[in-house]
Amino acid sequence: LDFVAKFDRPWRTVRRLFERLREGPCSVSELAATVPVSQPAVSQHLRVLKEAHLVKVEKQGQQRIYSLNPTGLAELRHYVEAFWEDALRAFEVEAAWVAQGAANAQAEAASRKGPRTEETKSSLVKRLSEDQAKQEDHDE
Amino acid sequence: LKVELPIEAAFRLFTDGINRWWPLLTHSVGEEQAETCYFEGWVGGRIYEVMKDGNQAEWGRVLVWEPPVRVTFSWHPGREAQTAQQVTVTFSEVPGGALLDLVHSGWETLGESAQAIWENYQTGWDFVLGKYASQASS
Repeated sequence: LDFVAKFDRPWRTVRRLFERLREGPCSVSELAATVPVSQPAVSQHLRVLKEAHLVKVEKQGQQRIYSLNPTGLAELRHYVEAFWEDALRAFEVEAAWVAQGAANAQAEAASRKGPRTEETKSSLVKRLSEDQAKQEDHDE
Repeated sequence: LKVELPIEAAFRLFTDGINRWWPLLTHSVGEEQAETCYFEGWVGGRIYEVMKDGNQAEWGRVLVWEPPVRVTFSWHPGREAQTAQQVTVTFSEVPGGALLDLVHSGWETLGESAQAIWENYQTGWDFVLGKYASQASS
């Protein structure tokens, strides 16, 4: 649980900073007032968020005013979507491959002479893609 | 996402067997330098890649370990741990296999914070979070 807390705490701070920024642009001192951490710590979070293009900063007189950066948020969202979609696709292929190996082993054990259903990994990928395309047609 | 494996095998392949399927070339810190990756199966366990020169890059840490139904990990590949988001993967038993559901929850919060963006991308997000579930339930 210590471990969870350790990782959760900085994230909760960032989340609260985001919630404050959603209400509208504001200064570092206003942001610092919403979280139980020091202003330098808040500045560091903001620097990281700015480097990631998730917030932007404008100078208004003496103050630096922070606001959310919609462009960066959209880019990140696109990236995350594509990232997991690709990774899970690879998992699906491997799982199908493992499942087929298990089925083949079972069939072979049941009948030593029986014909095995051979499928190469590339034809498996092709079949899964076709299934997915069919599913998408169905969804529309 | 539905897979035709018993729930235990699906969970094991996702975690212990990550090096069998993770697309390292495109989904790693080292890209073509990345050689393999590991998923340590315990709370506090590391998820990391090992590069050809022996260097390691940590992707995250296991926060919740409940085989074969749930694993939650922090996620910060190529970034500092304090910018970590969280990913929860749940497995459930369905006829003929197991159903996998993945939620990248830190991002969800960012999305909710930026309400306008959230609305714009609602359709795309549904695709990622809901597609696999709808596929298996249809």
